[in-house]
Amino acid sequence: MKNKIQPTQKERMMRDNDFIVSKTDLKGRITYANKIFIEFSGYSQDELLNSQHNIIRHPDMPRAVFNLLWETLESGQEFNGYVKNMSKDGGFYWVFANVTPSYDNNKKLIGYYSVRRKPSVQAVAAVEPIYKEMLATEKNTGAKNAIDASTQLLLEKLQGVDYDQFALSI
Amino acid sequence: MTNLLYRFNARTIRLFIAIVLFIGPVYAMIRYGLDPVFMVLLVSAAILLFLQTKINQYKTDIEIALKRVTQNMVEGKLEDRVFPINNAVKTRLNGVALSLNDTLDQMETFIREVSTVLITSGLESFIAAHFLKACMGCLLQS
Repeated sequence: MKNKIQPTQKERMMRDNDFIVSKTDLKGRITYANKIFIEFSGYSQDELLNSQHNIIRHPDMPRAVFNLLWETLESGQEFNGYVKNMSKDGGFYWVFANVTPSYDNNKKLIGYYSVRRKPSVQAVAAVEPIYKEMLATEKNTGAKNAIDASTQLLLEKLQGVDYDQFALSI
Repeated sequence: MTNLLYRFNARTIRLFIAIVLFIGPVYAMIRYGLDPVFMVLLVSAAILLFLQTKINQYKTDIEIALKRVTQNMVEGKLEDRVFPINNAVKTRLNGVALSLNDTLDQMETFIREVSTVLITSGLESFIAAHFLKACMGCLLQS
């Protein structure tokens, strides 16, 4: 389901005890969404089920971050990061996301499990300008090299610290 | 079936009933000369029967899902959930199913994060400070 939603400046703040949980299959289609996810996304359960997880992707998010997410997960590791998501009404909410691969009894990868928590104000303040620069780089570079250029910029900004460690330390 | 039921939200049902109860009998009265009161009663009974069947079917689906999820829990499989749940239907079973899902979400997260902590500490690597945040009750205290 491709959305043509116009982003707005309406921000939703996660509460301290909020705990957004979703599960996807290997292709990123949602197979489970908890009630907090339904509340924040603004979509109904039916709309979320079997939709691509990027249904809540905000246009302010650089593609390189999601590229990093998929690379990390495909290598069998967990991903930690800050993500700006978009609700159905165009509003947005920041989350601190932890995504882990799910395996069956035969150790075969069957999907992904994502938990999103309320991010600290300082963390969002630290991440937001970096994402803005990355997005600008992606727009100014040709589509072919956008992700590479943006990733390079991220690495420069983090000064040798990998993104996962950066995300966990702020 | 639950997906089908979910689409029958209150507004749709009201619209459907309004159409069937008022337009149907008026049409039947004009076209076939039938008694409109009789038609209203007949159609009302049919609608109630239809809705009751749907609700019963939904309850059965939720019961089957609850049994499957709890059986999986007994076997140590915590990945399963009662899903989808029709939030428009306010029943005790729905409340139980939502609570069970919430509990399983917290338990699964707890186990995944403990596993990560064990791996990272074994590697003397960085351990995240956020772990267990937003988990409630004993999970938070542990």
